[in-house]
Amino acid sequence: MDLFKMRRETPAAEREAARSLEQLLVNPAPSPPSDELPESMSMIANTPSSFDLKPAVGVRPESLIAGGFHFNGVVKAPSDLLRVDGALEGEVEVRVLIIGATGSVSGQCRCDSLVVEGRFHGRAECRELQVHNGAVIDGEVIYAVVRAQRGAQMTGKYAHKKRGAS
Amino acid sequence: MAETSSAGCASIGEGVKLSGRLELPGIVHIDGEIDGEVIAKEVRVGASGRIKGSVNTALADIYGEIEKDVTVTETLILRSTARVRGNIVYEIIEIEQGATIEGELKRGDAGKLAKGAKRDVMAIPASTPAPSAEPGDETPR
Repeated sequence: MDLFKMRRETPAAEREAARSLEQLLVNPAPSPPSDELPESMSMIANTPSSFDLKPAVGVRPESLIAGGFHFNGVVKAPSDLLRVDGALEGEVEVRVLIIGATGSVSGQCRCDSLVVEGRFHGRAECRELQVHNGAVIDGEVIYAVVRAQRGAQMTGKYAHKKRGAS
Repeated sequence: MAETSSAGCASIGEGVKLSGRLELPGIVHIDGEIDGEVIAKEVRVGASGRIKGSVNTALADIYGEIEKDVTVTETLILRSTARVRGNIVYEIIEIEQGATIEGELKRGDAGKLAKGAKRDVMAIPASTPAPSAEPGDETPR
């Protein structure tokens, strides 16, 4: 009887052990916090971004400059949406300009919304500026509303204009 | 708050006006008004806080107003009510919707050079091509 009981117990214990290992693998123990900063200092540095910017992949572009495509010139479509995954050099005037993670735009840009996941270099005037983590902006920007995710690289001159003014 | 000790820290309450240079080794929380320079390890400016001088710090969490240059060697967070009129030097920045910046932004490299261990790591990407140089790797969306 004891043997029977043991036989029943052992696999259960093994199962238990296996399960806890599985849990460990699925949810690995959090790595110890870096000791670069004293505990009280780590509060800001280690908290995640207070908001999340969704990558603008779900947005169906009305116009697209695909990856690997290099365009040099003037794009004017004030009521349109343009997504740039390639490279654009020159002047852009659109409603919404999305610069994808692989995209780069250099030159002048006038738009309502400017979403940057890749690189922008030059002068921009927009109502809404959204800068994603990893994006690079260098130049002069006039904006009404700005939002930058942690890790964005923004350099250059920034000027704020009142909302509604164009 | 995670602080266990208030040594080296200061809090300037709402309605308090202070003029002069404020230098401390710890955290300063400002809800009042400071007319002068602020130097601290961490600067937190509340929504009613206002600094009419330059700020020099490692970490900054800003809900209020700063009227001069801000130099942050690590992380700078501008909350939705933040107003900065001046040049900003930062390492990592986050800007919430509603915050306004008037001035020039620059990424500092003082922080990188101070950490000798990271210096070599930073040197590697310089020899590899920039990520934007090979856009063909990415599958088209």
